[in-house]
Amino acid sequence: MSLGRETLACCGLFALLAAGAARAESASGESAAPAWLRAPSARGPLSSVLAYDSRWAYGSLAAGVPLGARLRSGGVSSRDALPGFSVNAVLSASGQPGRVDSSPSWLRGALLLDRSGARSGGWLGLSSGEGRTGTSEVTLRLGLGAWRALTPIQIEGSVVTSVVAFRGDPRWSRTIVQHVPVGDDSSGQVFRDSSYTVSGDHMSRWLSGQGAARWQRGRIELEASGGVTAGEGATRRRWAQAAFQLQLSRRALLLASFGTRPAASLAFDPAGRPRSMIGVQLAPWSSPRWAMASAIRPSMRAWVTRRAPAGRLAIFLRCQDAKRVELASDFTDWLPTTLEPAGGGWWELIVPVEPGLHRVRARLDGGAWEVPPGLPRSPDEAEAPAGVLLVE
Amino acid sequence: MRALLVLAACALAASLGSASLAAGDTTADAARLKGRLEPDAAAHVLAIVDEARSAGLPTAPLVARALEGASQQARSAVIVAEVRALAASLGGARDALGTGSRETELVAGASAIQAGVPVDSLARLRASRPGESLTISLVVLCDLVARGVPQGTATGAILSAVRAGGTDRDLLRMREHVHAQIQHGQAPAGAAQKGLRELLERRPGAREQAGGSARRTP
Repeated sequence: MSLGRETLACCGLFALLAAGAARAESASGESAAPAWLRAPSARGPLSSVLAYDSRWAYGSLAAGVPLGARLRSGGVSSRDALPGFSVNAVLSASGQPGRVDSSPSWLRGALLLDRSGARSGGWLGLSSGEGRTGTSEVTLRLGLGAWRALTPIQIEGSVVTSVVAFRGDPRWSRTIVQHVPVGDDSSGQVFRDSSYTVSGDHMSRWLSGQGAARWQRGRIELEASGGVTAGEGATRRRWAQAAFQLQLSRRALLLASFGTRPAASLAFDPAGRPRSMIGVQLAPWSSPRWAMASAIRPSMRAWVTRRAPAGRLAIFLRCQDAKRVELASDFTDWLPTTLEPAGGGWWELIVPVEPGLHRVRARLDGGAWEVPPGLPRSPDEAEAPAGVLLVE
Repeated sequence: MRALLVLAACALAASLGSASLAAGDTTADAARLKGRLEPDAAAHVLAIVDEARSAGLPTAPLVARALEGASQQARSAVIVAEVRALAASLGGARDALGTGSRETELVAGASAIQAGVPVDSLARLRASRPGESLTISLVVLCDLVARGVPQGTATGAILSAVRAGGTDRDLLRMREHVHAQIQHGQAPAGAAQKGLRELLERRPGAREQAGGSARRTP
């Protein structure tokens, strides 16, 4: 079985798409590429899905590694520069506890070459098969896709060619007839026809085409996707799925889907849902660029102060989704001072503070300085108001 | 005669001690400003600080304001102007609130003056609550102005609340009501008037109501 024609066609199309993406790119600004395509670099190296569908509860793990720094067209390597080429490796495993080996798709690997611009891009992928189902076994998949952002809608189309090996399939069985010598008679050697059937081994190609439209607002994304799969030895299959995602926190995504997606459609997207399901995806090392995490802004929720021994003041600031909390005040000589995590979303700073009226500002993750929650404001700074703290 | 000599010696020693302390303060201020401000700006700020110290005004807020400007990378001229304006406001606040006012009152009063509150309004506020701290009243007044309540409306609301016997806790509660109303989309002026009405309706039982979320350090 040769993949020559498909490979050449895919590479040619990919080159065209990449060129298109290059024209559409902007020098600055983040790529609006689909979340699944950005996953290895934005979601972190590992994510897991815990889900329940109509048949069973199952879990999956996906590991993604950005193998290459993004390479700009000029060949200058820069991680932050967009757009550019990137190469990602994805490995995913899924299954039901106690039935891991019963699922034909429990372990998959894929290699993705991605060319993403600010508003459009394309990808080329190679994926391992997912084991044997009945008499057929998908050994290799070659995929090609393109996406375009038409804010707030994003559309994507892709084609996947699958190499399928049929083993022992009666549809390709052959009857072999042999003339077997059974003895001699007066006229010479006597032959008898003997026939037997060899169950057929056969290599075939399946072609899947699919399209998806996504709509995103804030922490919510809705997706409608559908496609068709056809090929030798397979009945033509149409499919459609509606999916919903809600970004619960920077690391957690609520997933729900209605409808089915075939394995060819999931070959490069380990977070894809094969059936109607509801679940949670957890990505402990995700960055703010993951999925809709950028819609989540760290925020200050509460401020508490308490007198500490030796003329010091214990300051507690409760924050959500913050990785770094800093405070600046006249009692720090207006030098940013980092608070220490104290658990439960609270951050703590114990600092010497004289009794009196003090001006205070705080900021999260290096963002803008703000008035800590609940503190009265000082009116004399229009651009960066300060909070007023009375220490007695 | 001997007693007079002893008295004079004591006065001399006290003045020398005071001068020594002042010199020490100046040195400490200079050390804090060094490296944060340009030398010329630091010299100007120190001159303003020394002048304020001589006038008996609090100087820590002046140095802090200079450092705040430096941390915001403000231009030297702007920093010096800000410090000078704050020193003038502190002086105005002391004139309005009285020489016996606490430092926190002067600082809050200066902030109110810089927010556009007339000096005579501070004097009326003092007259409405003689002998008691006006720090919280002034802080709440500044907060209302900072949240967009017109200065006249905010000043009137605070004066009315204080004259009606509103405590610091009442004022802080009124501030939170006003804040909540503004967050719910009400115009700041209307929110302040509504907050005042609620405070006046609660009086005189407001004193017994505990659980206010005063932002004070225990």
